[in-house]
Amino acid sequence: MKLIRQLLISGATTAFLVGSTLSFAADQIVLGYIDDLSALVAEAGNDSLNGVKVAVAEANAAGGVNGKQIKLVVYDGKVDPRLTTSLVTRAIEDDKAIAVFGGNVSGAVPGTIVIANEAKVPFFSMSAAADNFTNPSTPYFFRFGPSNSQDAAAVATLIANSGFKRVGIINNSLPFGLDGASAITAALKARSIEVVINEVYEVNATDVSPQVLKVRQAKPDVIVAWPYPADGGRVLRTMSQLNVATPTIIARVALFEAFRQLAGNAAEGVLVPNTVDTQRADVKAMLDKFAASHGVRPPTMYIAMGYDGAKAAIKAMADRKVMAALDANNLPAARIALRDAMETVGTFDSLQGTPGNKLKFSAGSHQGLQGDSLFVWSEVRGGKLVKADLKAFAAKK
Amino acid sequence: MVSLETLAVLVLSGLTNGSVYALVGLSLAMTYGASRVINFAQGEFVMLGALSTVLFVTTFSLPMSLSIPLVLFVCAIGGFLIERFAYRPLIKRNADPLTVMIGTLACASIMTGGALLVWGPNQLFVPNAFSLNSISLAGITSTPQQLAIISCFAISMLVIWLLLYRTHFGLAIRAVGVDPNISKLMGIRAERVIAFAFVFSAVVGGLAGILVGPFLGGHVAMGLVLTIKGFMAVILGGMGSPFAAAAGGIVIGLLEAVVAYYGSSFYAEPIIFGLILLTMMVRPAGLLGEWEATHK
Repeated sequence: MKLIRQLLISGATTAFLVGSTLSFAADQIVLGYIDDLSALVAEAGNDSLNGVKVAVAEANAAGGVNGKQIKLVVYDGKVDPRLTTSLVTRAIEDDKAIAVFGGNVSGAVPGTIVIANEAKVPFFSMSAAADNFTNPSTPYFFRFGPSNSQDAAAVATLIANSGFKRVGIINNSLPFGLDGASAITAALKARSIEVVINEVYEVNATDVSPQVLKVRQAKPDVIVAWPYPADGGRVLRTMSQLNVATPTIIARVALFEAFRQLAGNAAEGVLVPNTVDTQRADVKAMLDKFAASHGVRPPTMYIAMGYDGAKAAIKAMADRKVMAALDANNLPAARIALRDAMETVGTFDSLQGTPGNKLKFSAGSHQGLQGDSLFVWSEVRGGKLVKADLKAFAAKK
Repeated sequence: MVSLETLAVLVLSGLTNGSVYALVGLSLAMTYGASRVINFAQGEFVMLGALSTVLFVTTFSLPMSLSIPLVLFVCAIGGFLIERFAYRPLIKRNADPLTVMIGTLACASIMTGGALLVWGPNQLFVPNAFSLNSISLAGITSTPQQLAIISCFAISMLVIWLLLYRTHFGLAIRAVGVDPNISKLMGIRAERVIAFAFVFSAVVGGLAGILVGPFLGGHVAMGLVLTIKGFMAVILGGMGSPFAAAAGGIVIGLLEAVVAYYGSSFYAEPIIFGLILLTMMVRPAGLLGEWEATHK
C-alpha cells in the first residue's frame, strides 16, 4: 500500500513536471531577444534590448496584455550567425516565445529569417539594413529600422540638395559596408551624381592609408564613409593625417560613443543620419524613462527601434485572435495570429522620424519605416551629437 | 611612376600593419620554438594589453609611464598562468601536441570571458602612449603612435636577437627548441626555459596591444583575428624562428598595402593565402625557415 502510494505520488509529480515543461505558462507571454550583446555591435544590441525592456516594463506595470504579464528571455548571439540561429531556435522551442526580437547584426539575419519562416514565429528585426531582408518580404520577418536603400536615399538627397557633384565612398568589407556602399551608389546614380571612387578596406586593418590616399587622389567634393565604430575612427583619423578636409557623411555607427571616442577630433563636423529627433516631446519622455532605468545613453535609433518593436508587438498581441489562441494554450496559432495582427492592425506609433511618423506593415510589406520623413541629420561637435547645420555643410564645398 | 608620397604611404602602412602581425607572429614562434606548441591564446595577450591600458590609464587614472609596466606585468602573469596551469599539466600527462594546442584555445576562451566580465561588451577607446596627431617628416606624414609601432617592433627584434645569440640563456632557449630531452641531459632546465618563452611572448603581445589599441579600439573579441594574422606570418616566414615569423609578418603587411592601393582589399587575403600555399609547396619550412635552421 505504502509502495503504491509512493508510486502514485512520484508519478503525479513527474507528470506535473513534464507537463509544465512541455506547455507554456498561460498567465504570461514570452518574448525572446537574441542579438549581439558582447561583441562588435554590442552597443546597438544592448541599446535595442533596453528599449524593448522599457516598453515591456511599461506594459507589465499597466497590467500586462489582457492580464498576462510579459516575460523577456535574453540570449547573446554575439556576431556569430550560427550561434544566433541556434539561440533563436532555443527561444522558440524551449522558451516558447511568441515572437523573437534581434537583428542588429546583418550577418546573422539570413539564417534567422529562415528559422522564423519555417517555425512560423514572428521575428522583429532592428537595424540590420540589407535591402533584401524585406524586399521581397517574407511571412514572419518584420523590420523596425531603416533599410540601406532608405539610408542611401537620405544620403543621396542631402548630397544633391547640398550641390555636391563628385562623391567618394569608403567602406569596410563586412556586409554592412558593402551593401551600404552599393545602395548609396545606386541612389546617387538615380540622381545623376557621379561616384568618382569607392574604396574598400579590411575591417581589422591597423592602417587604412592606401585606401584613404586613393580617395584623396580622386578629388571628390564629399566623402561618404560606411564603417563600423573602430574602423570608422581609424578612417577619419587617417583622413585627418593625410590632410583630407573634404566634407564627410558617415554611417549611423557615428551614433555610437565608441566611434566618437576613437575618432577624437577627426570626427568634428561629420554628418550622421539618425532617425531620432530629440526635439519631439514623446522621444524626450521615452529617453528620460530609459535613462532612469538604464542610464543616460546617446539618443540613437537603436533605442527607438527596440521600443517601437516592443510597443508594436504588445499592441498586436492584444488582438482578440491572439488572446484566444493564448487562452486555448495554442502557441503555434497565437504566433500566426500575431503575424496576422501585425499586418491587419498595420499602423503603429513610432518614435523614429519626424513628428507623427508611423510604422506601416501590410501583407505585402514588412518594412515598418516608410516614406521620406525618416531621418534627421546629426553632426559631431565636441565629441557629442548635435542637430546638424545643413546650410553650413553645403557651404563648405 | 609612383610619387614619393604614395610610396611613403604604402611603405608606412605596410610596415605598421606588418609590425603588428610580426609582433604576434614572433611571439607565436618564440613559444613554438621552445615548446613545440602553437599558443592560440597569443592574440588574447594583445587584447589584454589594450584593455589593461584602459584599466590603468582611464579607470585608475595612472600616468602612462606607470601604466605600461603594469600592463606588461599583467600580461606576464597571464603567460605564466597559461604555462603553469594549462601547458605544463597537459605535458606531464603526455598529451599530444594537438591536445595541448586545444588547451591553449580553451585558455583563449577563458581570457575572453574574463575580459568580458571586467570590461564589458562595448568597444573602448584605448589611451594612446604617443600622440595621434599627424607629423610631417621630409614630406612624409605619420603619427608618433604609428612610428612607435614600427620602432617597437625593430627594438623587439634587436632584443630578441641579443637574447638568443648573445646570452647563455638564449643558447639554452635554442637548445630546448631543438631537443628538450637532450637539453635536460645537458643540465638545462627545460621547464624554466619554456615558462620564460610563454611569459616573454605574453609580454610582447601585451606591448603590441598597448601600441595598436588606440587604432583598433579595445574589445574583448579583438584577439582572434590577430592570432590568425600572426599564424599566417609564422607559416609564411617559417616556424620555429621568431625572425622568420617577423619577416613573414612584414611581407604580409606590405603585400596588403600594395594590393589595397593597386587593386582592392578584397583580393589581399586570397593573394596572401595563395602565396602561403605556394611557399609551402616550394619551401615547406617557410620563406626563411631553412635559412634560419642552417644558421642556428
